[in-house]
Order: sequence, then structure tokens, then C-alpha cells
Amino acid sequence: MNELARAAWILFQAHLWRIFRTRRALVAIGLTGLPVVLAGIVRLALRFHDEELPPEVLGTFVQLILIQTIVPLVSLVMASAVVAEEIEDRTITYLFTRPMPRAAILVGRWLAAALPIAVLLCLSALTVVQLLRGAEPAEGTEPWPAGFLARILVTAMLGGVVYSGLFAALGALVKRPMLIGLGYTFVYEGFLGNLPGSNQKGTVVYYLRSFLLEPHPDLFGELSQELFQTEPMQPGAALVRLALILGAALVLASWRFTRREYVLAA
Amino acid sequence: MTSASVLQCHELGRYYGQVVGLNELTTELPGGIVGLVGPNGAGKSTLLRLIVGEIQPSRGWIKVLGETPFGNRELYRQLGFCPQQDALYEDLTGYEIVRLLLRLGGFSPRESKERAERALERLSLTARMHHRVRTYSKGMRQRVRIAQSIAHDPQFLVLDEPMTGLDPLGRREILDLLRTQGQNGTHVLFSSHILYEVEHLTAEILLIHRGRLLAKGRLPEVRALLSKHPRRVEIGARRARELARALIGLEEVVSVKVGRTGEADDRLSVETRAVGPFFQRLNGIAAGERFGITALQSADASLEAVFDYLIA
Repeated sequence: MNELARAAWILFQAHLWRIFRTRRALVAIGLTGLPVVLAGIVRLALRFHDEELPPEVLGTFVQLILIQTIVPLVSLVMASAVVAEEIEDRTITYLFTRPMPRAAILVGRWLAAALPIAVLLCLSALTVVQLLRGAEPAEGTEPWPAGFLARILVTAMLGGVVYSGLFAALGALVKRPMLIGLGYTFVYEGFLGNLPGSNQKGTVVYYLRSFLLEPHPDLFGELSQELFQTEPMQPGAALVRLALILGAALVLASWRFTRREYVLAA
Repeated sequence: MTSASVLQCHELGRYYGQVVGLNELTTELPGGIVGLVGPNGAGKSTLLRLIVGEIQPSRGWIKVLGETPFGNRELYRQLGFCPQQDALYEDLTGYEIVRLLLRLGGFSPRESKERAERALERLSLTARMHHRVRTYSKGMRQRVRIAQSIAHDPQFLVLDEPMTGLDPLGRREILDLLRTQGQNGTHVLFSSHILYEVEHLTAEILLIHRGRLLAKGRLPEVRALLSKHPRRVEIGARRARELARALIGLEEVVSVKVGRTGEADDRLSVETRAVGPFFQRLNGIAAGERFGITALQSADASLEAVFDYLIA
């Protein structure tokens, strides 16, 4: 375990800054900018019509655009390649012939991707909320509940960490993680996560939504209920489920990664 | 097989789907410097990848320093590997790459720094070690790959075509380096498809072709062994019988068979012990007489044919 943590830490340090030199990072930055642009347009439109944004619209925007679309997409772009990149570049040979657990490659490189993902998503969410909410609530409307901004930011980062772990694991398990990850994001999470019923509990987005919705039912409540028909679970329980999903994905991928051989072209 | 062997293989086979990479290889290497020779596609890289545990056998077994190599962390402390593929972390410097791999090998930051600098110095890369490898020439990249393989002072050094991309001076430097490694007690196994390079470093060779072990031992012994195997040459000629009569008396010729294969010409199958002198004689005969030679080809891939290819 010590060897795994040590090697993972070394790889994390080595690859943390390398990730910003990749095209994937540029794509991810572009993706996190999309909701900001959309929020800016909404803001301008509201100002043009001299209206204030109903809080529920903010909640729905955060859920639908940010949590359900941008968070998994950014995670997919950045994290699915952490192992696949080493294989495609044929540099994995150097790592495989070091006296360290192979799982350290997956864990270290995932962490080096997860941190920038979390930071990017946090910045994106912060900007989106500030743009949509404005500096202060409009006169005559309810004040924003305490801690609601923090809840959105934490949910975005949490989503980034969990999805990036899932997609990093996917990259270690399959040959075309990007394609399968897109299918997973839009077909599985997008469809199953929005279908009314207990099937939602089979998706990551349900637990993220639970973490986001449950403490602020007034803010995110009615419209979200109508749109997603979600019955959120307690945030603590949602957190535990997310941790279990992440842990299971990483353990499974590490187990497979340790036993699998990769035939590299000469 | 002895437990002191550096490498032991028993009926080792590796298949890539329907393609045979290595087939029924049984051998044992006592250590020292050994050249793994064979033409391109012979199975050299497959064997080396099996040795360093990058891939697993499809059948049989392999032991390196008495251990099964796949995923064997303890073995990797004693193993250095220079892969054939020209793959490096392009955005890192040569120094950063070697240092990172040393850190992953368990060395402290300070020792990794010292070892990386020393290894790169041995490969004459000190002046450029802090430049990104994407700016390196092919030869410099090869030196980085070699540097990372020796930096941790492995007991067994495995190199896949280590002279690739190097100029003549660079080749000499690498040969000297490997020789020094061997003199210092490191076991060295390196592959090459150029026998000339191998001869400069060691007389011990392992010759493989089409995934099979053809010969093993000291180069003169292998040469003698190979020379005993006649090589077949197919000749198409309009007056094949007359040509056969002219050839049968030559001392290089072992046998001549005449067989009609087409309407316009006959085909001769000639077995010769020395293909070079035979072709010279044939040239003379063909120039002096009118046998109507229409085709000439070395028909088989016998041991000598492979050997001829290697020394060409």
C-alpha cells in the first residue's frame, strides 16, 4: 500500500502540469467555458427585458447544463486518456518495467487529471452562478439560502472527481474509452438519470442531484421535480454512494490493469 | 536447467491471434553478453518483451533470474530495459524522464538526481539533458532510452535494437558502454538484425528466425554449424539438361535435379554448400555457354540463407 501511494504520488506530481500542455486540456477549458457563455447570454437577455431570474431556473441550469452535461464531458475528455495515452504513446513500457504496483499508474495519473478537472469545474460553476444570480437577489424576492453557492461548487467538483475516476477506469478497461464514455454519458446517464422511477439510482447524476437538491428544496424544488421527477436521498447517503461507485470503479480497473497485457506496436 | 541461469525458457510460445511471434523456444542463457540475432520479424522483440514481462507467454514458460517476469516488481529492480519503439515523454527533458523513472524505481529524490545525471553523462547527453526530448535527434532519443535502462545499475540489461538511429561514432560509444557493463558484471542481452554489430561486442549469439531458435552458442560454432546445411538454388533454363551436366562437376554443388515445369523451359534444383562461389561459377558458365538461363532464385530460407542475410 505504501509503495502504491508513493508511486502514485510521484506520478501525480509528474503529470499534474503535463496535462495542461495537452490538447485535451484545451478542449476541457473550452467545454467549461460553454455554460459561462450560455449564462452570459441569459443574463444579457434578462437585463434586456428588465427581469430577474427565477431561482428555480438557476437550479435547473446548474443541474441540466453543468452537472448533467459539462461535468461528465470535461471528465471524459481529461480522464479517459490517462492510461490510454500511455498505451497509444507506447510509453507504458517504461512504467510497467518499474518495481511499483501497476495500479499506481492508474491512481497517480487519475489524480493528476482529477484535480485540474475539479478546479476547472469549480471556476465554471462559480462564474455561471455569479452571472445568473447577479450580485444580490432582486428586491421582493427571497434571499439566497446560506451555503447554496458552496453546495453547487462542491457538487460540480464532486461530479468531476467521480466521473473522472469512472472514465479513467474505463480507459484502463476498454480500447475506445471516449466512444464508450460518450455513450455512457448521453445514453445511460442522460436517459436513465432522467427517466422517472427508481432506475435513477443506477446513475451517478442521481446522487449528485441528491447532494445538490436535498438541502435546498425551495430553490431547486418544483421545477426540478417536474423536470427530473427526482426524489433525492440524504446528502450524506448520496456522498457514501458516490464514494462507493468511485472506489469500485478504481478497484476493478486496477485489478484488470494489473493483470492485463498491452501489446504495443514496435 | 540450472538455477544460476539468467534466462530459462521452456517450449516458450507467443501468438498474436493467428500470427506466431515465437514458437516452442527452449533455451537457457548462463549470462554475460549475448546477442540476439535474426532478421526483422524473426521474433526478437517478442522474446525480449516476454523477458521483461511486458507480455505473457501463450504457452510454455519463461524465467528471468529465476523469476516469472510478468508483473514481477522484485525482478524489475534488477532488470533494465531499452525498448525498440521510439517513444518518450515528448514534453519532458531527457533528465526529467530518467529522474522520474528512477524515482518510480524507489530511489530518493537526491539519489535519483545523481544517478540520472551520471547515466546521461555516460551517454554523452549532459549538454542537452535539460532540453525537451522533442527537440532531440533520433540518436539522442535512443541515448535517453539507453540511459534510463542503465541508470539504476541493473543486474540484467535487456536492449531491443540499441544501435538504431545512431551514427557510426554513436554505435561505437554504445558498444563500448555495453562492453563496460558486461565487464562490470551486468548480464547484457541485446537484439540486432545486423550481425556485424553483434560480432563487435560478443561471440555469444542466439539466432532466431520465424519465431524459432535456429542456433545458440559462440559465433564460430554457429557459423560452422550453418555451413553444413546446403542451400537450394532454383534455375530456369531452356537447355536444362546440358546445364545440369556442366554444374554437376563443380565442387560447390551437392546435387542437381532436373524437372520439367513449363513448355518453354526446364527447371533445375541445385543444392550448394557455398552459395557465393557457386553464383560466381554460374556466372562464368552462363557467359561462356548458351544454356538459355531464364530464371534464378534462392528457393529456400535455410539456415545459411538466413545467415547470409544477416551478414549482408
